[in-house]
Amino acid sequence: MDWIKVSGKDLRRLGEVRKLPIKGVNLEVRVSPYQIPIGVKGEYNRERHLFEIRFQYLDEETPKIRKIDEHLSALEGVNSGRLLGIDIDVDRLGVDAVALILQGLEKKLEPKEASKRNIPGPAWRVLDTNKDQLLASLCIG
Amino acid sequence: MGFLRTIGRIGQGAIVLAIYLLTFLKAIQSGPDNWWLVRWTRNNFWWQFIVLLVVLATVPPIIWIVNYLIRLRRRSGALKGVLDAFHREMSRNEDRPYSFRITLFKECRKRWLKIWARSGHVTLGSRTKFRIDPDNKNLNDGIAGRCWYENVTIVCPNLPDVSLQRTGEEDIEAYAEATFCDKEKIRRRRPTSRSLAGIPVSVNGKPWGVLVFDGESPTLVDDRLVVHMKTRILLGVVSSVLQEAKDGLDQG
Repeated sequence: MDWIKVSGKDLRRLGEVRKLPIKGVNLEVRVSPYQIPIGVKGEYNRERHLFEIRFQYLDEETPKIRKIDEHLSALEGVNSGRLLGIDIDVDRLGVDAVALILQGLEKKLEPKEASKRNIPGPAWRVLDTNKDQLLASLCIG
Repeated sequence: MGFLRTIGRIGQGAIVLAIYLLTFLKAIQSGPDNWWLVRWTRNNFWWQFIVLLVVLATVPPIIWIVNYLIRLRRRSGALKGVLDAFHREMSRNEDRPYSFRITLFKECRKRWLKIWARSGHVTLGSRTKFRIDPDNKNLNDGIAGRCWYENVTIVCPNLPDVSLQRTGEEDIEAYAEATFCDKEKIRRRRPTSRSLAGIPVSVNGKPWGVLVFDGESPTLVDDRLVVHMKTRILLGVVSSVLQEAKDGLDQG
């Protein structure tokens, strides 16, 4: 499956602006563009028997796997801790359960530490916006 | 551990080199008496040994350093090409293209942000650098320093004009505070930039430096430019060029 690109409008919305007035000059502060996924895709991997969701960022990063439970793993950036992907054991859970899991994932996959280099919000919002398309790809696949 | 391993390898190399040198000089010494080189070696054996050892031991690191610097220059040159292309694309509708500049600053030993590549053909020799400190927010100078420390994008439009000698103290203070710079530095250098933006640059998820846009018009560099798709493409290209170059340097 090809990447579902995050639209320019969505990218602007995801990087909320914080205004910081300093002596008559209005500074505009927003999250680093490297924190915001520019694309997302979901694919059923027939060899691993897993539904793989992947996020695309401006730079590529080596992933490390964090096991959440026996059916769920998160792929996190080895340096930044960003959410790079999610692996769901769809064979055991069933497609209906995946839809439910995607809804409650945010709390389940809370990163170990949210820091300046790891703000999970944008990735969740991208996932939430494209949830239906990802599920459709699972059903077709 | 890497440092200790390197020291170990250098020591190992020096011992092997010393053994070879000793054997070589001893072989020369055993030559016929009427050869000047043999006589000279017999008279100054230890001096020759030390000088040759030092010369031979320093040649490979010098070659390695020169080679490394050449490759670094090439990498910086490639990025300048990228910045120039984007500068041309973004300033297509500008009457004065050089009133707008893109500069890539590289983090050096977590102490400084130094110019790595800059668009255009002017102010390329600038030695501008900004102090950074990962432990103290207030010791991070300039928009670039703050972007690096906070890992955020900062846009600073509508800055007062401080380029003229008659600029009031209030304007200098406002400029210094808004750009996180020292007041004295602003007074001394009289910057012409009226709008600034800094975006942190990452490679493989690690902070690498900061990309700074600066324009002489108060509204040239704004929030739209920072979130523009072209800017994202530029950041993506910069990161991939740096990643490829890093892989190349690691391998070579």
